[in-house]
Amino acid sequence: MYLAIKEILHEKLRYGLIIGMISLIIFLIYVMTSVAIGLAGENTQAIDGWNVQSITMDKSVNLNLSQSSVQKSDIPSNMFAKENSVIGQIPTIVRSKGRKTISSMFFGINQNQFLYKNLAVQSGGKFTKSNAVVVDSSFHDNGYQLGDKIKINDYKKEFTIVGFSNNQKFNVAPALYGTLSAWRDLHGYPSTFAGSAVLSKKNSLKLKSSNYKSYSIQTFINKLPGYSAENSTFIFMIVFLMIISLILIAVFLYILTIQSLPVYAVLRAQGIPAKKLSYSVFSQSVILILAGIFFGAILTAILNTVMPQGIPVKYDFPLLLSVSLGILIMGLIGAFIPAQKISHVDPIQGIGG
Amino acid sequence: MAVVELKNINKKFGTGDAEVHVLKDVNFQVNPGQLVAVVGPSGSGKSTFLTIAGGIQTPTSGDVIVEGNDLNKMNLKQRDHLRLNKVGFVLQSYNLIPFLKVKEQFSFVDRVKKTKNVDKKHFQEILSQLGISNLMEKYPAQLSGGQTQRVAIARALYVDPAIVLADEPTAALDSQKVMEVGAMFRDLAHNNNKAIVLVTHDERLEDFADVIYQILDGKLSLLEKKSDKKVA
Repeated sequence: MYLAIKEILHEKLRYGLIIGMISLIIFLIYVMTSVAIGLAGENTQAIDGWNVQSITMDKSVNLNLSQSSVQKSDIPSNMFAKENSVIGQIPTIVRSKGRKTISSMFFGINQNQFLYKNLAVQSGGKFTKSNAVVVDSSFHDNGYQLGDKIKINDYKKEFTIVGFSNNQKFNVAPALYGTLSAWRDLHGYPSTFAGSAVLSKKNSLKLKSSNYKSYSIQTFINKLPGYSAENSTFIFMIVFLMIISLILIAVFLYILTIQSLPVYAVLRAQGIPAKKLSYSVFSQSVILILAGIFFGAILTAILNTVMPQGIPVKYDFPLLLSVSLGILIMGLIGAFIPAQKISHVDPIQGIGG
Repeated sequence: MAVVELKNINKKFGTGDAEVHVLKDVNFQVNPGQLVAVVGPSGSGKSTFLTIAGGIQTPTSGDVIVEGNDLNKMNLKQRDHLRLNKVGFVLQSYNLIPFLKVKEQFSFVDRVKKTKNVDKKHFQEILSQLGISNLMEKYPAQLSGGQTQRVAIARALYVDPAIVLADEPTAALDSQKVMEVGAMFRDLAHNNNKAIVLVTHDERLEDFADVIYQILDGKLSLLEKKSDKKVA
């Protein structure tokens, strides 16, 4: 560690440039990770808020909630307790005079079931009539206010915003919550339709007909349009960046080690154990990575202060810590080759003449 | 007992037509309190001789005994330990760690070899004798060739070695410093009972040596033995 610190302090420019490059890569990894988490969150915010274990829906629709429907006659009359809640879903376009048009997702829920009871409203109140809705707070960010009259799709009647709820996005679209009767009206369904699916706090639910199937909520999330592909893309990019950081560290340390081999040879000739010199290279790598993590974190914090609203960024510190640990491990792997080189340096190279 | 003893040492490099016989049946020993100079032209095998004596290189055949330890029977780790604790090397080039100040060259030794280095008083004497007391805050790149050489000598002596092996230790020194370094090596040998081997072109150092060997085409021969007192 002593040699590593002394060398870095002595060669400030050289190591400063290396740390700068590592910091930028780590900064990029942090931002990508946070955007990935943010984006994944915007896919599942509403679902996370429902706090359910399973979803029972039409088994022929390939887990597409919009395409699923559940008939009232298929729901056992004694089923509804605190664990089950019917939900109706329809993609919507919300318009209001003087306001921005917003693509959104309408959810019809039953006022007697847990989804309604658990719906957290940050301002205003919950809906009690079929022409009232609670909307995601991003509507408020776009200028919508309590009491605003809105038009949904081509439905003739207007709805009134009676409440705002935080973190209610589904598949990146902001959610609206209203009654199941409004959901039926928006779809043009008769009153025999109960909803799109039944959410349950239990692992599965059996409806009267075999046309339905229960899925774990994670299975449902993974089948959200674009969700898995998006996550895979981000994971691929993050892993790729980590591999780049490994190569970068390995190459830099290797070059620096090759340049310093005569010095290491002299030290070996003087009897300094190879293990101690290899340890020095590993220490250098750890110092470079830790410095990179430190400056990368500072850059991320600075970016956060100037980040425009609307970019889905979520800083998950335990995850960022894990990513940092991953980068540190990559750095140690990167230091392995130069450390090996040093451990095999022939002291004879230190003898001139 | 000799500090270093070489018995029937042969060293060959390469094989077949490319084989070079660098050292031929070399027998040598140096005792405590003795300053030995080994002289010879370039390519005569001086450096190979020095590296074998110091346990850096192994001979093709023959035995190397350092402080009673047969190097042939020691593994790499044991040789490292021996070099670190018993041998002080003064090498021709790259003697110092470029990113450590002069004072840190010594504190680094303290970190690796935590005990039995020279005490502070003796260390100050060495620095003063070599005229490098005022260079402690400088980096090797800020030193002249002569200063670098003197710091390297101090570095070798700092571990309080039983034997000092020096490869052209006065190569970059002016005449006055050559005399001072020569006298210092002699005093170190005679007063501190160290065994010192100087491999050198510098005839001026011969004046300080107790024994002078010549190495020519890989053969070591005794040129002069000034005192029988310490010569085996």
